[in-house]
Amino acid sequence: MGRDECKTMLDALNKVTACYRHLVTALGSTSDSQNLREELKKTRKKAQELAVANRTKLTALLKDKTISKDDRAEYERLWVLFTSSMELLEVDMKRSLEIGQDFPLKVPTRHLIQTGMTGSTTTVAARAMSVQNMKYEADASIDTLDLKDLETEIAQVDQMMEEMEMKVQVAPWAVEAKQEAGAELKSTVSVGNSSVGVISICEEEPKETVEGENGTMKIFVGIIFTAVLLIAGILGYLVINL
Amino acid sequence: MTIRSDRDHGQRYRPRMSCLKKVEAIVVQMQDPSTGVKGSDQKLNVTTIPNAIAGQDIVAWIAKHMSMDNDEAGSFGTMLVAYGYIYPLQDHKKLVLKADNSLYRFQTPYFWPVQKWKAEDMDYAIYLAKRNIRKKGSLDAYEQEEYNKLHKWLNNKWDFIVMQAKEQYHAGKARVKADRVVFDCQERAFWIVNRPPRNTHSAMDYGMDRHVDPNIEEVTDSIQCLYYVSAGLLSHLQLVQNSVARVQDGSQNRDHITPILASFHWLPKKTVDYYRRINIYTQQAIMRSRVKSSVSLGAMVKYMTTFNNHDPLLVPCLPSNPWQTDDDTYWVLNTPDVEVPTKMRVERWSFSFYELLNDPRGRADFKIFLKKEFSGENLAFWEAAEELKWGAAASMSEKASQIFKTFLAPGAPRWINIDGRTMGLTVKGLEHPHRDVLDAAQTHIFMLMKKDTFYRYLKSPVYKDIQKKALSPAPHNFSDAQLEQNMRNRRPSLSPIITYQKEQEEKAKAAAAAGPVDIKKLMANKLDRK
Repeated sequence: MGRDECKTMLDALNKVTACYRHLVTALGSTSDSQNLREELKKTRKKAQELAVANRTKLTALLKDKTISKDDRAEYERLWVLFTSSMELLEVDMKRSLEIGQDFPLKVPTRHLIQTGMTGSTTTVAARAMSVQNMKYEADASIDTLDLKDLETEIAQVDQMMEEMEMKVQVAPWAVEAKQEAGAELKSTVSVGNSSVGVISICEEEPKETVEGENGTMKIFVGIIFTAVLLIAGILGYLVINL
Repeated sequence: MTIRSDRDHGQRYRPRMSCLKKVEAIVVQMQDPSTGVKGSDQKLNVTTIPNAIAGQDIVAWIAKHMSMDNDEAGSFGTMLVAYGYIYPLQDHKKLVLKADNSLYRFQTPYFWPVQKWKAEDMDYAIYLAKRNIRKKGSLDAYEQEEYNKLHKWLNNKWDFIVMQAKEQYHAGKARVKADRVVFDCQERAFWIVNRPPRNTHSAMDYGMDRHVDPNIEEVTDSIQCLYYVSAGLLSHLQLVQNSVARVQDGSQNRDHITPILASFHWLPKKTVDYYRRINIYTQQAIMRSRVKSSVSLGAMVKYMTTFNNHDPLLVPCLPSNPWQTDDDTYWVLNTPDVEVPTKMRVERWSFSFYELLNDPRGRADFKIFLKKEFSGENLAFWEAAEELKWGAAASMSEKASQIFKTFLAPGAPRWINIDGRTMGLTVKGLEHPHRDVLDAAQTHIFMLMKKDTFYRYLKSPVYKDIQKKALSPAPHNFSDAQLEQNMRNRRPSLSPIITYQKEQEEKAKAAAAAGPVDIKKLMANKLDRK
């Protein structure tokens, strides 16, 4: 059905937008490189294609006067999803243009910011392009060439947004969300081991502000203490016996 | 579409933030691996993350590189942290630079504050949703509040926010472990700078938004008029011209502009209009009246030496500066209607008559003195003239006739003693009263009071009495814990509506009491006492 197609395409656009944002945050830092610029370029092209496809589909659906009210409400909701995605993409593209101009790669002394990020962003880009491995085939001066392309693409996106604004009669404020607050917690059941580690590393909050954690901290400390006592007892027993 | 898009013509430029480009130049130098601050590794449970810098190293580098002393370097460093160019790794909520072993790290350029781009609510909503996922529903109190607020306001986009948050979360998991930690810390630091928790100072308070981009160079008006070309088109033409020139001599786009130069935006276009403006300016400058610099500088030096101890920016004010220590004793002790003023305030009254009159408590004291001397009509006339000058236009003619009856008419109850010429001018002017009709008389009376009554006041027992009674509060000495306590106990002070009402009541009482003094009643009272 038209609606399911739309949904899958919107999901794809959403995924590409999220990955593009991750890639742009790595620009200008120590994990910046030729590869990153190329990944940005590829992700952008994919985003453009998806955007155009989405737009044609949605405008066709919305122009159709013979659909029911519920259907129309649903398409308007999808339209709002699409335009929000495009806005995020547009802002990210403009930011990447500015940062790309400020941090060129081909100068004798690069001054990329030492942010502590050392890994590469290949996996993120692979996720965006829905491929297993990324292939890099661009030439050395990609950063300056790419910026010119980027400027034209931003102009294109700008124009597209303006057209959409003018031609499609959708009131974005009239759309009601289907999800309620806290909806993001429901489907992420499998949080996984890795993120638990991340939580314990990053949360160095001062004790006064978080009272709830004090109780668990005390229990934790008590357990460690008893464990240490047990180990000491066992070692002492072994020492005495041997 | 949201209002954020570039296609609206709303106010979005933030002129006060134009300093950011200059700060960026410093940060880029600071993080240079060879000449910048030396970093070390941060060892966490399983991973080590490089490029962590210690606070004392940062302060030392700034002090050396910018030729400052350590205190100033510390405050400069705190500014860098407060803007978000460097973020603390321990105690991430307090954005200050501690000059000890505490670790900091540089922020990625995407999360730097930029004059053009404001931190948007939708991004914040996405971030909060991601954090919600990570912390499994237990956000901080202020974050939870913001989350609920945003859920209400951005309700139509909530589906998108949830979808995007989940996608960004999963995309983030595709990275290496160490990078994930760094990215989380970066994002968290960015949002602490841009959406600070309750009761904290934020460096992002920048005043109002402007409609015009202050960074755009002004394009010539004359050429615009000549060719009927719009400013935007003209700047495009300029761009084309520049690129053609570059093709001709083979240079790159920004070869001649180093990053630091570019940050200053000081290259104007020299055209007919530019020189015409310079001409007008210099012509006007020649026509101005001049004072000998020895005279004016002497006056300035005298002013500065007199007021030096009264300036809270130069000398710490007693008991403590409320803006720094969050303790408002200073304001409580210095309200306009306080019973016992502070010593500094009383000292200030003796500097000049203007200071005495400006301070409401001083004026009240002066009034008491004048009442004892039975010469209150001068001050009453001066106050009435002020009221006429600053009051509403509707009541002006009424006030003017009142003033004439009370002060200026021959045989008036509170007749003031001004010379004949001024009196004639004023009376004539009062036939058609306007705001400044009493100006000449008011100045005359002011000079009279200043040259005569003021000095008598300073030698009088009234003044000496209040000098003795004045308090001198002891300076506060708050420890860090007490400062935090003060910060948490901040409460809004007395509402200005209430102060205004009190003032009005006082005025009404004074007006009733200052009616024409009935000599007979007064003498009767004195006789009675016998």
